[in-house]
Amino acid sequence: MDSILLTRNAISLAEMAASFRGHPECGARIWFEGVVRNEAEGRIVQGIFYEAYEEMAKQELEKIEAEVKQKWPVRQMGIVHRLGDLRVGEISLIVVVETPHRKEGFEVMEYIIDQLKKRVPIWKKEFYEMGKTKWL
Amino acid sequence: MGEGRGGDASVVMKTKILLFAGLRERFRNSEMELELPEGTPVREVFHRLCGDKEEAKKLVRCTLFAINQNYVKPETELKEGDELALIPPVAGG
Repeated sequence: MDSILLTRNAISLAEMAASFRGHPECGARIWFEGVVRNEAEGRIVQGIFYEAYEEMAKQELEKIEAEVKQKWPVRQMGIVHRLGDLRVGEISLIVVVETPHRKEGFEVMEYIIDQLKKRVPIWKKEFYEMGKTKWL
Repeated sequence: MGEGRGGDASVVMKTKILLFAGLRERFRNSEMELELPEGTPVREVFHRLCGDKEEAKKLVRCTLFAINQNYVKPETELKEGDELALIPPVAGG
């Protein structure tokens, strides 16, 4: 699998998992899915449009990957982010990490997602009822 | 030319500006080219883009800047050939 990918096509954990080859030193493999939710701060959300500064977003994700591999014993990881128009229930993000033990795996997963939300140039515009929208 | 702080302000350079998300919609453009004096700090770009000074100040406060795909501080000076991205608060995930 590609370790870092931005795509306009639908993404599927089942598909990614089917092509994932585990590392023999790893006893923990953690998957995360980000999903479009139907509400935000009390408003009904109908969908989200994701936009990215693609070259830089990939580069920032690669920096995060390098940081993670330096700090923790991560043998394999992958980050796939969807772009474009998504409906409620669709998957926006899939992250996988493989580590020898689960404890560091959960730490790594949290670090990756926190950093992604803080510094990777990806934006979302929420669509509400009555044609209202908001960039977050 | 272009040595040290400030560069040579008499030299005008063309700078490519990339805009995203809310800023792209605000300025109705995803890409523009501005003629700027060499050594212009990146935060000054908003004063060129906005007629309204208060709006420019507000945008400087909530925007991150990247030159050639790397984050830089608002006071970083532009050089010939730089590509400047104006990055509103990010919201991936």
